Amino acid sequence: MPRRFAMVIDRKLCVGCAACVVACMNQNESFGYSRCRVTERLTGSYPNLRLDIFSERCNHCEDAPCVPVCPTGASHHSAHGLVEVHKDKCTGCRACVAACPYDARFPGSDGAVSKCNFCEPLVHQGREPACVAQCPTQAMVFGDINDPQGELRRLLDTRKAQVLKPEAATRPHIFYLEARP
Amino acid sequence: MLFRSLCEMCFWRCGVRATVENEHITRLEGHPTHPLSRGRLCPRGLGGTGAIYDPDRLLQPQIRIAERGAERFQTVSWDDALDQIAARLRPIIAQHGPESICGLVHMQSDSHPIHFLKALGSPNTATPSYTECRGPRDAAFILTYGQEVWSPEITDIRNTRCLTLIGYHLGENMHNTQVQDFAHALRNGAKLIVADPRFSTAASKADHYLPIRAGTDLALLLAWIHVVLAEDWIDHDYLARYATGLPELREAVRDTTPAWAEAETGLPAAQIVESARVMAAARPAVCVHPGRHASWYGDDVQRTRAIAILNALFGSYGREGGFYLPVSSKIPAYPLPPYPKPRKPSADGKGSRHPFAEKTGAWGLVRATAEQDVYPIKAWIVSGADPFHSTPDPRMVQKAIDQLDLLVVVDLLQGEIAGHADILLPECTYLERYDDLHAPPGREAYVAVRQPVVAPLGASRPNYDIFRDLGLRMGLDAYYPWKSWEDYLDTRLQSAGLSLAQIRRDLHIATGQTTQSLAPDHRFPTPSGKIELHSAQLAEKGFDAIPRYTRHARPDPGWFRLLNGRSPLHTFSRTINNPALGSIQRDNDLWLNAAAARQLGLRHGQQVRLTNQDGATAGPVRLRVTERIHPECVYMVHGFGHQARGMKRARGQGASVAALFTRFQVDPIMGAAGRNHNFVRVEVA
Amino acid sequence: MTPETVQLAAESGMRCCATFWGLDIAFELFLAGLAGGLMILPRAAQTRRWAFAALALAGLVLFLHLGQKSAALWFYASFQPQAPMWWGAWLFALALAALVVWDRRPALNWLRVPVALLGAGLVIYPGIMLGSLAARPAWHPVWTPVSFTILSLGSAAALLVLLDPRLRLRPAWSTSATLVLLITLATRAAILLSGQG
Repeated sequence: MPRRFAMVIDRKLCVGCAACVVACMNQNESFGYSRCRVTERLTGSYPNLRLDIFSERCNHCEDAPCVPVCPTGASHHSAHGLVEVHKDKCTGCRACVAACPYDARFPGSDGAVSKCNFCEPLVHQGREPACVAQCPTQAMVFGDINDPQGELRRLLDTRKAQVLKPEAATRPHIFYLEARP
Repeated sequence: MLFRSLCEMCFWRCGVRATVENEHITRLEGHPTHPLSRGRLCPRGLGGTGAIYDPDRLLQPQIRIAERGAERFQTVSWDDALDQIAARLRPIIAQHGPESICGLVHMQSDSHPIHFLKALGSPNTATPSYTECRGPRDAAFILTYGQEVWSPEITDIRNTRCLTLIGYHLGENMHNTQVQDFAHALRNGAKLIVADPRFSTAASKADHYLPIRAGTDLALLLAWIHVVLAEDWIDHDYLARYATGLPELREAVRDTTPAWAEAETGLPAAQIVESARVMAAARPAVCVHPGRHASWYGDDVQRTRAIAILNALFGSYGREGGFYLPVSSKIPAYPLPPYPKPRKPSADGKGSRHPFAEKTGAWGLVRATAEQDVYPIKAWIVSGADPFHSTPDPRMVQKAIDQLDLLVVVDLLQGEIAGHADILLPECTYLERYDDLHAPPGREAYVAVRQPVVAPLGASRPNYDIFRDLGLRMGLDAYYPWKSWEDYLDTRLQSAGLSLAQIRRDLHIATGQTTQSLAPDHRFPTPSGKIELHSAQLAEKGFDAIPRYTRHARPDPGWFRLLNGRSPLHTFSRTINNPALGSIQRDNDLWLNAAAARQLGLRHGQQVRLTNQDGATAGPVRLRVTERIHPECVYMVHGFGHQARGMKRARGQGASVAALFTRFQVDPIMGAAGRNHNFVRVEVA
Repeated sequence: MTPETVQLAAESGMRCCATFWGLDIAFELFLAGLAGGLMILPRAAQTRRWAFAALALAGLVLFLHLGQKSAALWFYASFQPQAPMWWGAWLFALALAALVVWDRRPALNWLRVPVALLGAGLVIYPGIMLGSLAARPAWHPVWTPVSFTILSLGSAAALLVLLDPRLRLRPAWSTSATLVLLITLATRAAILLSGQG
């Protein structure tokens, strides 16, 4: 099977520290910009509470709605399941920003639309995305979801996982392992 | 190009790998093999490029040209600045003695002003980390086990089967290695018990979350000790071999039942029993963490004594999953003449130290300066610290400053204390310099050194050069015999069979010592040679030999106890201005229980002002109406509310908890300032 | 976001519920709809210069909104019929061209037809574009195009009243027409902003 990149984030380990946000800022953007964020959602009433922490970024969806809306073809599917932007063709019209159910895209520092690209240049060299490499709790795993011997497959087969906004039906490829097994 | 150094975005000193292109640092990452980073950094470490390239950095020496606090300065040369400092110090020393000069210092480069002041003969140097932070827990562990908890803590979180946190909000409190170990323990199925009035990130992962009423932790601990003894969930062999005082302990906790504790803490007795059972089931691999920032109520040594005792009952101290016995490299000191003996004792503790204070207390020096009632204190050298944020009662800090003939501040940014300086000196960041050797206690001994990645920006300089130049002007040549700092480092390393060249290449070198398991005939460094459950030392000085619970005053209706803590993105007050970190978290907010907010008619997102029992105010600050906090408390992250004009990004953002810490209770055992006695009203701003 | 949702995000990065099309786009939609409406309604020939002015100004606002203007030519160098925004780019260009031609050659009455068709496109496509975004449920797939059509025709009709020498001077008519223009602008802004954040 062809390689299909994806990410698994173990919410049992994630502490929501936002090291991923800073690592991404360093690797890909300038001060004040980052391609990922951390959200915390609380349910319940004191003291019976549940805190759901998510490190969020572009989900590199199989059926990404941000691709067909692009009027110049800048937004496109590329190798191994990535959704990327041809910078030189992007006018910054933000139709893709509007189309993304995950608020994963944003106007970049250079005016074109920016978003996570799984640190494609690093991955191309056989390295990990910056967020994955720096996460202090090693909560994030990146790799080929189609590799039957791979770590992603092993995790998804042994732990309960969810995606964000499954009702959007975009087939996202970031999977979150349960926080409280 | 890749370079290596030690981070100093906090005090942990993780190994850092820096990518440099065209003499500009483009990226920081965790050094792959350094024992504290293991290839990863926390958010603050990753944001180090924001510290070195902060546009508000001090880059030139400055001299005040208006009244103190007006924040108006003129740039001068280093020679002028240091000449002036020396010229103003000499008459102060001549008239009032070297003890009239205090050093309020922090971060690793504090060793240089400390050396300078000791060489002058002053007994008065202090860092906020003692009486304002972890002093109580270190005193408690010294009394019980004969040695402190150290930093990094000697807690074996990595291998524990049960971790108990009392207010210690690991995950928001972002000590890199400890959080890595925390995750490792969770991955391996360790149990987690968290007692905290606030539902912290750690609480959200807990198997048992205990929503304890603030100020009653000692009741919970005594109840746990009671249950553990009553159920015989103790390690008899361990206690027989290593501990004394068990009969006295049984007697002392006879009445501290779970039912009694329920009335104090608000926790159901059954929950107290069940959590004790979970800890006991994991023994000896159970770690009841003593915390770090422990200066809460003024009885903090006793609270941490109870934690130390509980760990001993489980037999976890010196055992895997509890506390390991640390080892460290012993690199000989640089040969120097002995420091002159100070003429007077240190001025904290009103001239006579609190009986179990191992170090000088910072707030005590500030108080002595404000009141001038021990002996005259006429000059301060402040380096890497801001007393307006770290010392309780900023009014006392201001009064102290008003008594000074000379205020010298060494800093990276023009913050609050820097704005009051007579002479303001720009230190360079950790990425632009060395520091002294770092040989911390740990499982495996190693020595590492911070080293420059790029040249210092502007006219900023390292502290070892600043204070050497000042020392030579003050005639302290005998205490500065090295030709350069590299010569100093290499001389020390050579005397241990290592070299600077080697450590520059490798960043860290293991020196061979590794932690040992507890030998059957291990002698603890206490007077009895044993773990002292019952402390005769405390009894001799008139303190409770075994901790006894006292109920602390509770807030009246409409008032809330002010609690504070840490964010994973910031360190104290020093990173708020950082363009990387401050762009993710620009301000703090005030956490208020949702039901309490409804009663007061306050809405989420409103700007509110806080007023405490002494009339001190803070804010405006954003209100976070939340279910995550006990109805009697409010909570803010410490370090915000900057007013200094020199911190353009941080100015006016959020509110300062320090401004509201006007009331504090002093721990009589070692002088810590317990600040959780401040109650606030919350009103629309 | 509910009050108990908190985000840690860079100021200018990936943020929950950030506004991507603000008041400038609301103004642009108002002007484009106004132009399109004028191009459909009777007296289109007489108001062709007003339509051109409104559409040119809308185009300028759109162009200024673009984050990377140098790439704008790609609208016209690619074929993206699945993208409503692509249709919009072509509608703008063709409508401006048609209005210029019609102004230069007013005798070509048959231009009325393509102008009206292009005007209809300008009126309808924004609502379709917003309504097609499944990620923004506040922009209903049916009601949004309908409401945008009504708003466009209403604002065009109001402008016709203000341009009519007989009606302009009657306070009741001119006040009402001005109010309609303001209300259609405000309503567009409200619809646009309520779908975000």
